[in-house]
Amino acid sequence: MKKIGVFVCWCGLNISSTVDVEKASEELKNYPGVFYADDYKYLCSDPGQELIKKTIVDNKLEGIVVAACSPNMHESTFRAAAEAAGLNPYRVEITNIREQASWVHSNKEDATAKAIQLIKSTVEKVKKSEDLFPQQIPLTKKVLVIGGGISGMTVALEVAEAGYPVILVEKEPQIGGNMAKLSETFPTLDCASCILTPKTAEVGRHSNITLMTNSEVIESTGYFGNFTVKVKRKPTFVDWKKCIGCMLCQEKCPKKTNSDFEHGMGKRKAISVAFPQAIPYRPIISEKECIYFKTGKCKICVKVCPVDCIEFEQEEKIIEENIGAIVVASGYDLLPKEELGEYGQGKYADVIDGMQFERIASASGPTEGVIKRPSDGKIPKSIVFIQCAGSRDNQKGRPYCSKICCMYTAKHAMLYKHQVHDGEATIFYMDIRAGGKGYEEFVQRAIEDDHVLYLRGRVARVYEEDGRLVVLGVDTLSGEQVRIEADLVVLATAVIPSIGAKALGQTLKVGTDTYGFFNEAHPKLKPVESMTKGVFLAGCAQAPRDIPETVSQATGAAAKVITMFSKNHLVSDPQVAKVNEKICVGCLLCKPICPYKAIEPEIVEVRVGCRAEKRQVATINKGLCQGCGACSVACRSGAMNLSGFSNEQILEELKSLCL
Amino acid sequence: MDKLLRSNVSRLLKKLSEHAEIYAPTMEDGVCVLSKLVNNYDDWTLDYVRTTNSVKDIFFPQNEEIMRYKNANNDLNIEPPKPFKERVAFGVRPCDAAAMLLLDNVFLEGEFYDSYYKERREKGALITIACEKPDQYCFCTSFHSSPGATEGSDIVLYPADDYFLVVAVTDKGKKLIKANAEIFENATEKSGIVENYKSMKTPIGNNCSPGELNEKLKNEFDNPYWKKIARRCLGCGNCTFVCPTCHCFAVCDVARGCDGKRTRTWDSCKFQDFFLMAGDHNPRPTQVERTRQRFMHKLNYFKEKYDKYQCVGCGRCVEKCPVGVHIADVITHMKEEL
Amino acid sequence: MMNMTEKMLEQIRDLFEKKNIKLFIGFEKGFEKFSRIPAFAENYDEAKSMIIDEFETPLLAKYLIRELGEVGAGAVEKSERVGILTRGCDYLSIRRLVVDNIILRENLVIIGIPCNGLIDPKKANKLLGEEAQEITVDEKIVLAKGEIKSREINKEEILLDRCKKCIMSKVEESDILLEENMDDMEVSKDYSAVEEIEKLTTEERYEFWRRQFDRCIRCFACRDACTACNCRKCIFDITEPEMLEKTVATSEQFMFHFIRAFHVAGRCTACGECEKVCPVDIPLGLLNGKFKKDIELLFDVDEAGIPAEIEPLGEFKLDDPVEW
Repeated sequence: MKKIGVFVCWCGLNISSTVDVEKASEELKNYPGVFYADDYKYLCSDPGQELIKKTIVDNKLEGIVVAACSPNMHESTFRAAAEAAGLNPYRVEITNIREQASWVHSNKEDATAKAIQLIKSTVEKVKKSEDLFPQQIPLTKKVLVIGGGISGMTVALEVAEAGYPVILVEKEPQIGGNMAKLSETFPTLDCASCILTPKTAEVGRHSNITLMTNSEVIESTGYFGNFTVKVKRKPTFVDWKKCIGCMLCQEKCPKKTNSDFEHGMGKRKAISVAFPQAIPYRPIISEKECIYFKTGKCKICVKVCPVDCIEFEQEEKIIEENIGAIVVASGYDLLPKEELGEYGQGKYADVIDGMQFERIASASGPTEGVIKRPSDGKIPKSIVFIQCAGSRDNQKGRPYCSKICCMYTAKHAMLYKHQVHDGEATIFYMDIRAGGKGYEEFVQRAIEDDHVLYLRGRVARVYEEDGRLVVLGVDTLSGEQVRIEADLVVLATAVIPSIGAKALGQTLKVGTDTYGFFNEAHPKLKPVESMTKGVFLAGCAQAPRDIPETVSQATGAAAKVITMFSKNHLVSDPQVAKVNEKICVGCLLCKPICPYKAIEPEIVEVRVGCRAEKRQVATINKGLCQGCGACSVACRSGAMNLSGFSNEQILEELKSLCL
Repeated sequence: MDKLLRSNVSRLLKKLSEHAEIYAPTMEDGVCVLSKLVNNYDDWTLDYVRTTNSVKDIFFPQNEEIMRYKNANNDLNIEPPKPFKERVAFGVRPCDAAAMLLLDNVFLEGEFYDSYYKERREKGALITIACEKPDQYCFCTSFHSSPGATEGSDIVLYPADDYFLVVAVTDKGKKLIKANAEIFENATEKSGIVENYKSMKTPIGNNCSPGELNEKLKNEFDNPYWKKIARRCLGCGNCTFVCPTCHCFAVCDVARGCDGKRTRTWDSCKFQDFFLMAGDHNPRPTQVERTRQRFMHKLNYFKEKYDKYQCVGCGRCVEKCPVGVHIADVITHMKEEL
Repeated sequence: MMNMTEKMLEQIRDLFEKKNIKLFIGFEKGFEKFSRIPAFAENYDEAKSMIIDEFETPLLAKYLIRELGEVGAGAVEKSERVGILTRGCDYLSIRRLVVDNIILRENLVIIGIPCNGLIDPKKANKLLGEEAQEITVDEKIVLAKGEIKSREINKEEILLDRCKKCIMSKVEESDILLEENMDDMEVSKDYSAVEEIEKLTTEERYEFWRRQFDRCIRCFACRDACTACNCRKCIFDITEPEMLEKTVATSEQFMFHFIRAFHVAGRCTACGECEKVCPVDIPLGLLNGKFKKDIELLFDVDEAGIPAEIEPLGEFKLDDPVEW
């Protein structure tokens, strides 16, 4: 039988006040297999750890149980101590008698009995412990950032600055994301493009960043440290290497069409660059609208191009890249107005969403910053802003708060009032959520200095009457029905994950929630890690958030990547699943159950009795496996076992508890 | 001769329960089981051909604790099981009673006997009820027995109109009747009831009486017939567990911390791990060897040792086998072939 | 017109002559008059005793594990083929084995026969009041003759219990179809027995199952007859760790029956074989039925039990129903 040592910690009074630690260690001395048992004031202190080390060496212990606080606190401390004393760290188990006995009970006798029982069951577990060794996994020090908005750019710049190569993939032809479309930013009212342009420019010229715009990630295989991804580069029909960005083609192109970048508020040409500060500042031909593609004639762009860089025959390219980590920064979209029946379902030209307002308020936008309404270009005398359009609405299936609307609506109203001094700005709100540095003051400024009218209540309907928009709502504070005739209605529509986020999640094998936002590994402690090791999250891909928060999270994700890249190898936790090939029947029920896609079939030769058999079994990719244990639960014959938490260990623990 | 009115059975059982545990056939969710009566002595039934479990359960239970031990402070403390209570099995069939004699051979004969079994047997009595209507699975007459046989019983009850004719077979039986004389009545009629039962034929009859088959089987270890029937066998232990004569067991220790217990449980030659040895070697690796073992044991080895076939024709294994492995079939086939 | 048995024999002869199969698994008469038992033929002569009729038979699919899977490479390598007579229930069981990678479909030759339910001779005897000597089966009426009595019985009345709950009356992927599949049998989702148990209080329910499980003699017939139980080594046969003590205590009985039911949950094809083979008549179908019902309800599937590559309980999803 193994020689096991038991150390019971007082944790000062934390444990010893409710658990009779001396009695516990005394009783454990007589337990079969226990060679040494003692108690100590603070085992986590240096002398405490020294005691453990010395006892292991002196008594040649083969396993130890530390009865102390939660393993989350000091498991690694005690494992390190054991390792220093020459004992495999995975032969150390913690019994949590602080949270599970001392703190949750008041009766000392009962708590002591429970603590003793728990320690005994851990002793049984340790009896079945095995030496486990971490594995070294090779690492490709290159990161893939998906999304070229403010979060993706932040990650790219941070990692690139640390000296590692970055591939930045953006589905639009230019980087900048949603932030590039904004007019001013709250709460400082500085111009969005003024603070963004230096960033985009830096990304564009950084030697460590490979920019792949107009591209999408279509496949990802491998595991953390060693992913292989395929990126689809859609054709631009312009040789960007040759192009000098003179934009003569855009000027001369005869075909005008609605601009996506302007969200329908402005026009662009069939060959165009989205906006003057775009990075890369290179035009792209829209196959859908281009006259040549439709009729085979025109080619005006070809004629005017001084460097001969138009390539109508360009085709999409698939590029394969080996990378070590992935950061998902796929951003957000806004809930389409068409889904909001009560606000006209998108049929009124003068009911617009927040992003459309941003465009008409932007100095570089289609109206050059003059707030005109889309229908007739008149300057509106009365604007109604409706908050929570789709958000916090169970019926619309989006019960969550979109977080940024309170602030940007206040900003919109303020921008309007600064331009149209006699205009009336009314905001319908449910609650004002202005948590953030300077946010509450900003809202107060809108109310007090700029006389924006805040009405608490939901708008029941927006409709047209005699050519004017009528907003019908209730002021819940006065209890009165409110009817406002408006020239323009701005809906703060819900923030939703960018279109295609769910599909991207499937490609990357990263889970998304009901709405399509990416799931973090832990809501509090691992907000930038995804459930898949080596894939990190940044910005609105994970949840709605504003710019400063996005930038902090992106910086956090970058730090995670840099930490990962700071080592020459990755070390995998040996507490992963293990297959007993003798028993495994090869049914592979475990394969679809594995959340990390770590299980694949393999054909092996197994000796059974006196003959060798060739057959299919499951194998574990130790790099991908996170040790969650789902497979070991699903395995009927118990062939799948989680090292460090084997069926045998758990069973022994249980048996000792069910005496 | 005595008789026992059917209406007096419950009274008798109640009386007997004063110093003994009573086992009787009871209906449990549509299944007739020989089970212990507690308090309700009206629960017995006559609506069965054979009980699902045999009387073996009462004297050689599927699971019995043979000792408990405590090992605290390296101080080993062994606790033997509690003494057994007197027990009376009521409503046993003649085949099952006869089977007890075979178990006696195994557990009581020779220099070493099984003390647990012995104590239970000594403290137990069998009150048998002769079979009124054997069914298509019955073949006791193939083994020199009959629906009215008395071998192995202490008392046999022969059903007549509203009463049972009572035949005391052993001294134990006689004493039991004497001690409860007030419940029994004198039987005056001397019709041929008992003889009728004794001469009754089971549907299969004695066509499958093995005769001297054991001699012939000695050389049939490699007969391809074993492979043929084994191919059908699913390897469940059903036949051996319902059999009133199968008696293989395993002894296992269950240890929990300082405490432990040693138990004896039935085991079955039909199970894959029954023969498994340390080092993963299995001398009977497939169902062929295991099936052969079962039949050879019953029809050859046992006969060699005790001069009896180890089967009483109760029909449980043939009724319960899901794939029609049939001992009468084996006997007839072997008799024809050899 | 040839009857089904003749048609089958003709096909078997053909298969053996063309060396298409090494073994054929079908049924023959057993020792008792109406018992039909599995039969194995390695050549046409051995197959001549095979028969197709409407009396209760065991399922054959389980034998494929031994005949194809146990040689070591059941799911990996092509081997000599095995022919098998297949009804809808057996067909689902075969699919179970194929989906579970125990056998390769191409190593099989399936002779499919339509089925509208098998009859239970024991039930006929009971209705007749004596042992039937002759039973003739018409489409809907069964004529049972004993030594004394004779009686016409509605076939419905003496159908096997499991046939009343049939979810697959035809063979969808047979290599040889002896007769055209008939129309789908009316599948009525009858969970009334399960619902009866659900109505009980927790204590009553516990008492009900304790009574059932305490009867269990641990012969493992339910496992051994089940095609979803196709592990190389059953967890209950593994001694280290000892998941199930040999001791037949109530707790261990519950452990065995619950774990068995959990291991086939979502994979059970509702063939009813476990319940049929149980020597002590434990209503295992109720337990399996409860799982089936819950899976259908919670995972929104029409018919839990049709083997598929991805099954409700065989998939990782973050939004699995919490009730499960």
